[in-house]
Amino acid sequence: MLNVALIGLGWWGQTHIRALHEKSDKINIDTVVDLNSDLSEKTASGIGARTAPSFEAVLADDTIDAIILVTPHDQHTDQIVAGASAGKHIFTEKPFALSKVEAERAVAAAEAAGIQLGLGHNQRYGAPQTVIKQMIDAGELGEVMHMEGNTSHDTLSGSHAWRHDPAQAPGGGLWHMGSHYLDLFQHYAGPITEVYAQALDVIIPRDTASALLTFESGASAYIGNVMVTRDNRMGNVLGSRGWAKMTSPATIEIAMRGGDPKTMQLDLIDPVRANMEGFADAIAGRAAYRFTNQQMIHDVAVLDAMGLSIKSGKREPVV
Amino acid sequence: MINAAIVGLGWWGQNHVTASEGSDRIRFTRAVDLAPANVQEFCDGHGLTLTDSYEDALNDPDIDAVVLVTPHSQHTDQILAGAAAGKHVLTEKPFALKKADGERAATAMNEAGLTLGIGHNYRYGPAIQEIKRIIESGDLGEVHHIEANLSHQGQIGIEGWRRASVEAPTGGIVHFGAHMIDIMCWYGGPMREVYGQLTSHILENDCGSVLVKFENEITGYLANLMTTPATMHLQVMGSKGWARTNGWMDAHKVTLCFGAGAVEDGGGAVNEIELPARDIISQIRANDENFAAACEGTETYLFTPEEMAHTAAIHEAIARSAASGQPTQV
Repeated sequence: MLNVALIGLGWWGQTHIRALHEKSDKINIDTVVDLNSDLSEKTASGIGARTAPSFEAVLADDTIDAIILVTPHDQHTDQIVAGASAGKHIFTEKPFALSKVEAERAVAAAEAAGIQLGLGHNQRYGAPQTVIKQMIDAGELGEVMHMEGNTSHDTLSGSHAWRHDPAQAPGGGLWHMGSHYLDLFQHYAGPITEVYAQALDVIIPRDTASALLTFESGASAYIGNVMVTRDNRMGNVLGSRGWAKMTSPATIEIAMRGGDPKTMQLDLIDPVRANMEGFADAIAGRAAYRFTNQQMIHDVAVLDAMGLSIKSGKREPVV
Repeated sequence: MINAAIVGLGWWGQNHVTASEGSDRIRFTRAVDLAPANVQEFCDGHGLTLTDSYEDALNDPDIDAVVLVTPHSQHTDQILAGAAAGKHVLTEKPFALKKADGERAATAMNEAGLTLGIGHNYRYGPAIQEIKRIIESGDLGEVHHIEANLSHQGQIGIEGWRRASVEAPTGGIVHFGAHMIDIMCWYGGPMREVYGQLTSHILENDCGSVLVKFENEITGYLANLMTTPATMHLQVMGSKGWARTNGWMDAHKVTLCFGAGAVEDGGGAVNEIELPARDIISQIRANDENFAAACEGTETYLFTPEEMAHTAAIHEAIARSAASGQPTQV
């Protein structure tokens, strides 16, 4: 059982609790921390956990094996470095960092300390996403030619003010939900070489954003996000032999050359729990984690190029 | 009732003829094909006078309109010749591949006071029309983003003029993407800037994708793959909700989600509307009949010549962007 401290108890921090508390036999939420001490106390008493007065106090606590960071994006790197130095395994929410330089600094610290990194791009552990990855690896879709992803919703258009700050998310929804597809698509088709991205400020900053990506493999991809529309999800992988679409958290639609589209029912997986348990399995040596440290850096390098492209109005290489 | 000549009797040209059978608005009486021997039997069966010269149709005083189902690069000159001969012209898509050609053709027809038609028959599809109606109703609020992907694998194993780079410099973006360009502009207005990229897998330029900035504060995405199983995705996202249709171009179901408030209170609930079906042949007929009625002055045509010319400017800008690797002004 991995004994963890959860840092940041806002909307998404609570999602971690719902995914893990009394539902995982691999992870125990031992300690919860938030800048709002009332929220810490209330959350801790609700799940029988402890509170700690600060992130630093958690680092000094020898009973904590791993830390889950659900903190503003620009704090991730320093917190990872500090956590690694204290010998804690670190699972961070996405984005991993806000620049490639920072991402490399975090990975260097983790590798120097020999700790496991985890990353909250949960889509890699979702049921449709996992089955499509297996289909790609088995060659069932042929060559992956093009991918499309757009998960949009207006959940962030209300009270989550820091998320609207262009310093935290230079491409708005491309950073929030769009980054999940960027990560998933590199999982499917490998490294990304070039990007073009555009973003409009219609109602709130960067609320309408889209990007086209080019992959080393020759594939391409589209990622879109609108932060001010109702819930909507599209995830498609189009290949030379067939295509697969993520039509709901427990269904995919597939079509093979010459055949009609078919819907396949899958067992629902909670991707938040599955990702956290994948992280715990990697620490325990039970199974390899689905992310490499280099892929975590690459996710950020692509975001860097997207941010640059939004500013320059040009296609930009991923460096 | 107008009398029309079909110019080009390949697979799609024959669809125009069969689609209009029994129509009280348009009657095909003449055909032009460069290989008459191949289509003589079809013409005999449909009462068409067949010759191998476009001039014959233009010189026939009984012909009111010509319908062009010819290679893309020939459309402009054929429209200009039609205008000079006083014939109404419906051309298959793409209207033209260069902005200057599109403008020349539209201007010539406008100056001659003739009706110009375009084979974007999918604007007559039930789901496509319903989404247009929903946008105009304001239920989606302000439109922010439009996505469209219409793909199929019909070009695998087929050689012919459609595959030549002069006819389709951007591959499937010219073929099926052209329909989506038309619909995106119908929904979102004129496009201001495009970024296009092309990759080749099984056929040359068989995967094309485009990001769009419209003149209004709207963005868009367009894609076409020529070598994946048939699929359509068309979605409009607005400040109050979204509407989309999937399947194929004869889709007659629209999925909708709009309204403020929590889903449990009725805001943002997802609904599916099922409309009366209208297959693709019926859509061709609807377009050809709307065109014929416009020729006779009894109906307004669903497309303006300016819209058609604008699609030519978009095709040219996408081709330039794909070549340069940079966004390009329309």
